[in-house]
Amino acid sequence: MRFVAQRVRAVVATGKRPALLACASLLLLSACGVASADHPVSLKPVDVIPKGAVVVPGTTTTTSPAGNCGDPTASLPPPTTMPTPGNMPTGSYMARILERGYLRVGVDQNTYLWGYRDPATGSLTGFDISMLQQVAQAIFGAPGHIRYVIVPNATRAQAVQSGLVDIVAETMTITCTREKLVDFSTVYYEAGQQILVPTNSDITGKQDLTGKRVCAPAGSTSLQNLAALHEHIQLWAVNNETDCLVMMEQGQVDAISTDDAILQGLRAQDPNTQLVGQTFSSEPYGMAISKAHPDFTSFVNGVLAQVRANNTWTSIYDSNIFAVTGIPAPALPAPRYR
Amino acid sequence: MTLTAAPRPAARDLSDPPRLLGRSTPARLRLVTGALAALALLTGLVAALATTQRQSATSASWQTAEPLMVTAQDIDTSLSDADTTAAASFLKGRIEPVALQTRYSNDLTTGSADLAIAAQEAGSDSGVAGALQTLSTDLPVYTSIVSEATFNERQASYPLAAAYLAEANNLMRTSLLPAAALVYATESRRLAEDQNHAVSPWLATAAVGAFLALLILLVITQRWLTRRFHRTWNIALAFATAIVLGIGLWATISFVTQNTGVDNAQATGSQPVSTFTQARILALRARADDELTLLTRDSDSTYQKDFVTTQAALKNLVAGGGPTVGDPNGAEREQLGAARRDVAAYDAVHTQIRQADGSGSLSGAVALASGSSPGDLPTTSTRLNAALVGGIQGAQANFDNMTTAASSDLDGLIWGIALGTVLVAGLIVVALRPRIEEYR
Repeated sequence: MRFVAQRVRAVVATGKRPALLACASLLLLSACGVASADHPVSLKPVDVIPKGAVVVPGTTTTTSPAGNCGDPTASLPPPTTMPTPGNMPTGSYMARILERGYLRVGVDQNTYLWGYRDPATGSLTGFDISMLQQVAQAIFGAPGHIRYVIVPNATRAQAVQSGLVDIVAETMTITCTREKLVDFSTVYYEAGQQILVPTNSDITGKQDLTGKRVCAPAGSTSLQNLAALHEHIQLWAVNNETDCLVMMEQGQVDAISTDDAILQGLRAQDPNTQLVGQTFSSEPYGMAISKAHPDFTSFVNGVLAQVRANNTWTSIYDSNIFAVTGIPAPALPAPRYR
Repeated sequence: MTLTAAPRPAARDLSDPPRLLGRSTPARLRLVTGALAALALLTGLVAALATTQRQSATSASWQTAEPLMVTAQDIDTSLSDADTTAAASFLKGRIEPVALQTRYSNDLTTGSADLAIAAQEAGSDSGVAGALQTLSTDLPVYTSIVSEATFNERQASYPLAAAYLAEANNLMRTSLLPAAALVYATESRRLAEDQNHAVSPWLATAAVGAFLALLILLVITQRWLTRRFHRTWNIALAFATAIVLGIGLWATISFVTQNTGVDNAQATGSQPVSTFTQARILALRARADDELTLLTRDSDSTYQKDFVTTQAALKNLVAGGGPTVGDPNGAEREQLGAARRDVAAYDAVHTQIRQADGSGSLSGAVALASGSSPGDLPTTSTRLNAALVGGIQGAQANFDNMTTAASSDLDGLIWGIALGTVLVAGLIVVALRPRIEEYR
């Protein structure tokens, strides 16, 4: 036995293509060990799904009443005069950030085009990241004074409330529910829910989703919208929207439905998919800031006003999104103030 | 054997055991001869059985059970290592370092070659058949998911790559590794069974008891002969007694040394092998936890939760001094000490990585987790792995040496027993026949 073990290992070790030999030994295995007469072929095909992917019972995902909070997108007005970079008003939250030496930001690292880590450079990049860099630039007057914390979707508001980060920009929709927990900046991108399907799919819009398997991130407004859409959708909830694309590529779901901004990022990762139908919800993105620092919210709104006015917004969109998707910049969201 | 006096009847003596066996002296003599010779042969048979059983179980533990356990252990560790290496390779960026690619494919080669051996050897064993089936069906699926991740990473370093990698890791942890652990546990248990069989006391005790009984009866018979026939010395019986004493002592000493040898092989061989192997698997898992925390956006921090339990179990394993009792040269204790130091060093770099990640320096965390400086994660982890592999190799050498020595303790004994007891039976007949013939 010992001798057999060594011999097999020796054969494998002398092979020039270990990977091929590994397969060969697997074939050998299936020939001698597994599909023997003792074990007739009654095997189920191995169906692997991403960790945490679950089917959501439609009844439990009813839309929770968001409450009436007026217009949640109306934010604090910017200061009458913006402080010059590197010189923040004494006692302001920005002065504390300046003293600390860096801005702490909460971001995502898996949302392609918006906030993701580029392993080629090791750095985080995307539309949200660029917007946050604008805020840091406005405080310090020089690039680089920024530290990124990867904040899971579920704890975005909490990260701001607890002071773990100064600000979160993470494809975060402004809602009344979230408004109660944190302050939002003015809208910096207007997204809407849409559908991504394989290019050979017969789904052309939300009306075709009945009886289909549809995937959306767990705990998202997208999931709630889908549950409200049709009773007969088999909903899959995943930890991360990218897991939806894994499942669609593996043929485990028929469609993905979430914000068009996110879907464009998924589409860019798999050219054999396409966005179909019209958007069927409004998802205004805002940056989340603690309610304890209204001066900082005003300041960020001032930065956003500048970014809109001096064309920086468009160049950020073009370099991060248009360059990849070829989709021209949508209408610039107009700021609304309380 | 010379006649010194003519036979004459002795006084009736109820304390004389052979008297109770037959009416006339010749009948008694015949009975005693037959009984003693039979007992000698029976003793030989029992002792030979005990020797065969012990020797075959000892060599089975060395030649069959242990190699199978090593094979199972290789499956487990190589799969763990493949998973950790895949993650390490992704942390390094879009172009995987050649060294890591080679390590990953070596792991898979070892894992699947060992899997083929295990499947061949297990045959129709239902205990591991299911687990081996899971391993052989899921391993190609695992590698294909990792390939999908690699493909996406190479294309444009998409987040999709990390998602596939996380899915592969999940398959590894929920299906492949538990199956490998089951095969390993089964083979370990089988080895322990062989070892227990090799030191099973029943036959050996019976053999030693039979030698003792034979010895006592030979002495009693000689005393009876002395009294009954007034012979002071029966050379053949004295010779037989000496042989019984000699072989009895030889067998007893051999059994005891073999017993000690197998016990030592267990205490300083197979048990530490198992401890070091489990520690190695846990260490690899802890490292994968740290890597995957950085690679995937860990939305429910499962990897860090897993790290806490994994690292606690690892510390618990390397803390104990138990398995090294009787370690011949203290090498295992030394490796365990090194492992303890390396686990502490690993803890330190883990804390640094978590601090860097928590304070917003993701690139700093990634640099620590994938760098090649002495204090970085890969170096620390490699050192820990080396200490544990050293421990496994040392303990395996202990096992081999002690088990082969224990097996050779019994070498020749079976021939000694066979020849000796047949000779004793012959001598008994030779010694008593003249007495019987005197009555004709």
